[in-house]
Amino acid sequence: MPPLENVLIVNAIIFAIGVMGVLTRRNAVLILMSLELMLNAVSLNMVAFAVYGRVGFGNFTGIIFALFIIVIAAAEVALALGIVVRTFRNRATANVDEINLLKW
Amino acid sequence: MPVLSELAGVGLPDWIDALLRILFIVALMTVNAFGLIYLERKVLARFQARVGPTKTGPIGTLQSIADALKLATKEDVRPTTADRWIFELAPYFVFVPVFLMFIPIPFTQDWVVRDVELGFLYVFGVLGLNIVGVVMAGWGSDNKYALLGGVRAAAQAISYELPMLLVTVGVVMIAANHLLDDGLSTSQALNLNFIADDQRTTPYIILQPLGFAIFMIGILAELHRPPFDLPVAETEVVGGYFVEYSGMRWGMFFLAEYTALFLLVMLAVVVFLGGWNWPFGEDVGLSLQIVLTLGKAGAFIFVMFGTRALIPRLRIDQLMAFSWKVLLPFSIVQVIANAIIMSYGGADWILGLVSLALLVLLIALVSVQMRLKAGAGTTTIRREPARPRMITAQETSSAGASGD
Amino acid sequence: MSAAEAVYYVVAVVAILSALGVVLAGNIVHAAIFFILALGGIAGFYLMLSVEFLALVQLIVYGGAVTILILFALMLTRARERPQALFGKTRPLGVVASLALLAAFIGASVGTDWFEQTPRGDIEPVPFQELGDVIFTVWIVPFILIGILLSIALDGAVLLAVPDEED
Repeated sequence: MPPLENVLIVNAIIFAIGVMGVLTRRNAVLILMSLELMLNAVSLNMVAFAVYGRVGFGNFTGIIFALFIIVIAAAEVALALGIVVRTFRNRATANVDEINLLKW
Repeated sequence: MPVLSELAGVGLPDWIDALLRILFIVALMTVNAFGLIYLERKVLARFQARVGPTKTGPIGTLQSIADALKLATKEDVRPTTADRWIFELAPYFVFVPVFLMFIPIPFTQDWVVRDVELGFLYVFGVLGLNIVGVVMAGWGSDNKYALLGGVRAAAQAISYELPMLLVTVGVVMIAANHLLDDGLSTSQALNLNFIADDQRTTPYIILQPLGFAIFMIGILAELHRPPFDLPVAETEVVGGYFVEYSGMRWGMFFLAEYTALFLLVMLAVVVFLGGWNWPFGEDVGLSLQIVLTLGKAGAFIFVMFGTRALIPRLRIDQLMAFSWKVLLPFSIVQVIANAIIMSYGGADWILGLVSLALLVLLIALVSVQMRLKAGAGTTTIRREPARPRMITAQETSSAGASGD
Repeated sequence: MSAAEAVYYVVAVVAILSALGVVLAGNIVHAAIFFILALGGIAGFYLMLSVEFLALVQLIVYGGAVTILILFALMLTRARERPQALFGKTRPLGVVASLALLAAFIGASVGTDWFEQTPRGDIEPVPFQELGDVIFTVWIVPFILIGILLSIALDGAVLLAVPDEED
C-alpha cells in the first residue's frame, strides 16, 4: 500500500481538476459533473484518513462521512438537474453565461 | 472453484487461475445463450400451435449456431452521423456487466467463481451499469426511434430495479435475523452462498412470497422481456435502442439479454428457492446439487417463456404506473412489516403469513384494476355514461349536407 | 514495485485521466462517458483501500443512477444539437486558480507530519457489522436526517419535473 501522501496527492489532483471544470466549463450539466468529481475526491480523502489511521484513531468516521457524502451528492445532483432542465425549458439554453437576466 | 485447480493438477498462480475462470465463464455463457434461444423458439412455437426450428440439425438444435454464424458474417454497418465512440462502446457497456454478474452466483456448495462477501450489492451494481449501456446505445444511434426506445428502456429498468432492491432488503433482513439468532456477525447476510446455505429447511419463497413475485416481475422488466417489452418491440419503436446495430454488435445485445435472463433467474433460485440447498440440502453430492439448481432455474425460465407467449404487452404508462404505484408501495410495506415482525421477535411463519397476505392483496388489486376499462395499473376516472341527447335540427341538416 | 502498488498507480492514472477528460472533452456526451470512468476509478480506489462496501455503494448510486440522470439531462437539454460554447472567457483564470489550489493542497499534504499510520500491507477489510453498528448507534441522527433529506429531494425533483399546464 502506498504511503498516505500519495493518496492525498491524487485526491488533490482530482479536486483541482474538478475546480478547473467548475470555473471553465459553460454547460450547466458539465459544471455539475465537475462538482461531483470534487465531492468524490473529498470523500476519498476522508476514507483514506479513516483507513490509514486505524492505528491512530480506531474508528470509522471517515467511511461513514463518505457514505453520507455519496447520498447527499446524489440527492443534490437530482435536484440540480431538475433545475437545469426547467431553466432550459424557459430560456432554451443550458449555457450558464446566457442565463443573465439579473445581471446589471 | 476447486474443479479447475484439480484439473490442472498443480497449484496455478492466481492470475492464470483467474484467466481460466474468465474463459470458462465466457464459454459457458455462450453455450447457455445458444441453448436458451433454441429452447425459447421451441417453447414459444408449441404455445402457438406450431413446431419451431426443425431443419438445421436434429430437431433443429443447430439453429442457434446457424444464426450466430449468420450474425458473425454480416456487414458491420454504422450510421455516418452516429457518434462513433458511443455507438461502438455501448454494446460493451451492456455486455460486460452481465458477465460480471456471473461471479458471485453459487451453482452448488463449492462451485462459485468467487465467493463475494457483498454478493447482493455487487449484482445490483452491475445491473445499473447495464442500464447506462442501454442509454448510450439509444443516444449513439442518432435515430429518433432508437433514442425514444433507449430512454424508455432505461426508465423502465430503473423503475423496476427499485422494488427488486427493496425485496432484496427484505430477504437480507431475514438472513441477518437468522444470523443474529445464532449469535454470529451479520457480515455474511449479503453473501449469496450463505443465503443459499440458510435455506436448509425453509426456502425464502415460503417466508416472502410477495418478494418472489416482485422479483420475478422485476426480472422480466429489467431485461425488457414481454410483457414489458414496449421499448424494444418492432411494432412499437421499430426495435428500440438496438435498431441501428447489425451483425455481431446486435448479437452482443442479444447474447447479453439471454445471459442476463439465465443469471437473474439463477439469482432468484438461489435467493428464494434455496438454490442447491433445498429440498435435499447438503446430504446429496455436488452433481445432484447442480441438477437441482439447474432444474429449478429451468422451470422458471420456462415460466418466463410462457409469459412471453401468453400475456399481452403493457403500454408504457401502464408499465411505469404499475412499478411506481403498485410494486413500490407493496415492497416498502413488505420491508416495514418484516422490520416490525422481526423486532418484536415474531417467528418466521408470521413473516410468511404477512407476505402471503400482501401478495393476495396485490393480485386482488391488479385483477380489480384489470376489470376496469383503462387496463392494469392505471388510475381510472369514472366518467358518467353518455346520456342520450336530443339531436337538434341543425345537426341533422349539417350531417346531411356533408354528404356521407 | 509490487503488484499492489502497480495496481494503485494504474487506478490513479485512470481516475486522473478520466477527470481530465470530463473537464477538457469537446463533446459533451464524451465528457459523460469520462465521468463514468472517473467514478469507476474512484470505486477502484475504495476497493484498494479494502472498503468494498463503499466501492459497491458508489457503483450502485453513481454508476447506476447519477450517470443515467446526467445522460437524461443531457438529452433533455439537447446537448448534441446545440453545441454551446464549452469554454468561456474565464478559462485562463480557472486554470490558474485550480493550479494554485493544487499547489496549496500538495504543500499541505506533503508538509504535514501525519499521525501514526497503519503499517503498509496491514490494511484488513472493514468489518461490516461494526460499520452498521456505528451507523445505527452513534450516527443515527444524521442517518435519519439524510432519510428526510432524500424524501425532500424526491418531492422537489418531482415538483420540478411536472410540466406547466398551458392554458
